[in-house]
Amino acid sequence: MAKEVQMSEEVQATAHAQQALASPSAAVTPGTPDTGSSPKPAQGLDVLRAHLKEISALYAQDLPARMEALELAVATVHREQCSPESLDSLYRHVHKLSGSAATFGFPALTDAARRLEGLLRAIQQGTLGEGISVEESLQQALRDMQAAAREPQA
Amino acid sequence: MNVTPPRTLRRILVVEDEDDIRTITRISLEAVGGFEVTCCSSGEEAQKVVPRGPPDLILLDVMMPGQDGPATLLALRAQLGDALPPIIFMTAWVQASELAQLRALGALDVISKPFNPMTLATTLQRIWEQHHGERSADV
Repeated sequence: MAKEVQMSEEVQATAHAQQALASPSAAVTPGTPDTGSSPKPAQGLDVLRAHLKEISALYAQDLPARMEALELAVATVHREQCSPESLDSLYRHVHKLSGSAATFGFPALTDAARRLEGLLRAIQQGTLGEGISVEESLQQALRDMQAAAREPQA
Repeated sequence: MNVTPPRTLRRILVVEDEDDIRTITRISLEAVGGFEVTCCSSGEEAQKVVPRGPPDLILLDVMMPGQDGPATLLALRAQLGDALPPIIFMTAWVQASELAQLRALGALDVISKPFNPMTLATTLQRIWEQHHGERSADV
């Protein structure tokens, strides 16, 4: 079965307590009035907040490595003169960041990643405006993402 | 007129290759929604897991290495036919044409990534109830 992000003992203990509450017999529909043994929505949200804080911290820790992989992918695009494989690989790196960064506290990084995705689509489809340098555009988009990766939401 | 009450949404399978997204999705659906959640990290794994005991709903990532979300949906449909549970795609795609393609495959709905874990369970429940409301009206 799929492996998961490793969390601290404290958060895991909370998770185990919550799992006991969320057993099949105690399952509730969101919005259903609390009837005693069911997990209380507010309690569930507190548990989720604690986990989200911890996973977001791990995400922030891992972000420099992800950005490094992104820089390498951009360098490969330049080296291979925009080969379809290198563009596809870069797109996958960017797409992962655009789909996760805001969830873990980096909304500006999601925005910057979406702009780079748009740029890559234009390069792949040959619709980048005339006179616009692919190399400069990619480097600017990369700088935007690097700046956004240093700015978690307060 | 007989009105069929909506079937309760209880068991959800999450198919997502990113560890952190998969983890927070599971916790969100269990802690806030009270759902029973099983996770797979690939479409290939889902193809082995689903036939053993189909869940009520599959939450399926679109862009995954190997077999992507749409290919997984088609493979599961070929395996299970009418027994295929409803599928909701999760995707960071934003273009309307791409989202329309996913809906055309027969997905119940499409959830945008990045999503808010605090509201994910409520969103799924709302989609589920809408779906069952429509089905009841069709009867």
